[in-house]
Amino acid sequence: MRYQLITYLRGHVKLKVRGETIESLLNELIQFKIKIWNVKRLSEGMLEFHIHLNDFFKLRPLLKKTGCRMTVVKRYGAPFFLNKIMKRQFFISGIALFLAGIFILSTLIWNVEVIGNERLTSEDILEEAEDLGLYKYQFKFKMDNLDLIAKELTKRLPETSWVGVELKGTKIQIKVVESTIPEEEPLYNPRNLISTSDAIITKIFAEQGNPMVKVNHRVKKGDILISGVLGDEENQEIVVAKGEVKGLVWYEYNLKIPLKQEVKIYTGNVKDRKYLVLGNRAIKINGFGDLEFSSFENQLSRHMLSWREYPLHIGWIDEKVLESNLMERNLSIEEAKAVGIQQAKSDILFNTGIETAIVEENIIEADEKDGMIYMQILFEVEQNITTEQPITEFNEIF
Amino acid sequence: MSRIKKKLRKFTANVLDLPKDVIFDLPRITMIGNMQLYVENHRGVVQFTTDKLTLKLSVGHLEIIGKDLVIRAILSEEVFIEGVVEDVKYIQKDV
Repeated sequence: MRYQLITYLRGHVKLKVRGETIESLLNELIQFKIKIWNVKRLSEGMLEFHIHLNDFFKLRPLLKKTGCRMTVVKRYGAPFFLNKIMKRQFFISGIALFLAGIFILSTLIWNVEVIGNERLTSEDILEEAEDLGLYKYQFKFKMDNLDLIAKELTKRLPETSWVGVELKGTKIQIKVVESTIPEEEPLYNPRNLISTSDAIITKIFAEQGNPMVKVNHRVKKGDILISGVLGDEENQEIVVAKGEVKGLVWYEYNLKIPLKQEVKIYTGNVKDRKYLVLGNRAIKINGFGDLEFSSFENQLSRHMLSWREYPLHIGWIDEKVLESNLMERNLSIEEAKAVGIQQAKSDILFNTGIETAIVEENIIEADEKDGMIYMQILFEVEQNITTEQPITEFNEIF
Repeated sequence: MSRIKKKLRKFTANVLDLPKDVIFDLPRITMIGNMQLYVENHRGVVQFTTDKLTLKLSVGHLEIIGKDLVIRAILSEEVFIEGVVEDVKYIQKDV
């Protein structure tokens, strides 16, 4: 019983034995070490048991010796099964054909895939590959060495820096690494760089063009800082002026800051509401009752269900009602001044860019009047002061 | 001679605390409920019907009485019986 699989593979038969001295047959079997099992007495002088197929042929002399007769009741196991199958020629040839078909089909290339290309089209690459004997429905053994094909492909496609060809089962994968082309610079018109405002130059660096000013020069708005005209009047070349010019610029701010400021604060009282959303309608399902808040703010968060990318038009809304209060805050004069300076500074940075450095700030005047502070502030700022001016025929004369 | 041998065997079995079946060539009978029965060290089948199985032993016989008795496996020294076992009789001398 433990070796059921082996027993199946060896094959066994169920026998019926008739005879007077059946017990002596059993003893003979034991003596010759023939294994039998499932021995049943069917009637007087009739025994049924199982025996291995190869032991079956040793049985005949023992039967003769004990004067018994036997009939085979049933055959079990692989040898009989195979015997039965081998008789069915068409079935066998079908299996063989099927296996052969699978084998032949698996030696074909079923798919050629191109990955990694961005600028090159897959069609172009596939065309070149086909030229080298790499195409769909091609036999694997007819192809050249894949490394050689990869090398040849790299040669034929000049826009690539590397091509790899890999066989993955019945699929050919062509991996392409395109050579990177440097980014094209935007085109500029011939130009001068001029000043955006009155300033004292603190730094000038001309990458291209003719610098017209030096550090510590005072310039007015519209003065040329770096000229795009090179050479004297006879031998002239017009270029795109490029460079960086920084200068000190002055800003004056007149501000009025109220001393009383209103600030909105939350009291911490919250009321939750929930809505069920069906299509375009929302039905309140939680948070009924009147609001006791005199002033409040709503926060809505919407959760819509979807299956993959298809919206289901069902969802819910969580609403939070936050009670708020307006508080009045009194600023001291110092605080008001600080607020004013901060406002002015952020205004300057917003207008001139992040590279700007505020060198000095001076409060010239600060008066308190009718609960307001009127103040005048002067800033000295180091900033980029260039802007471009295209060179036209008219400009060139000057 | 045989008597001396027997005594010597008994003595060794006692001294070394060995199982008796090894020393005296006796059958070892294992029963699982009344459904399965192993007999080791038998000497052949004397009689086998659905109700009764008589096994020859080195000394005497073993009678197994029951219903629907089937020999699941039989080897030169082992028998494995299944069925409803009702009675196991040990007959010391020849029947």
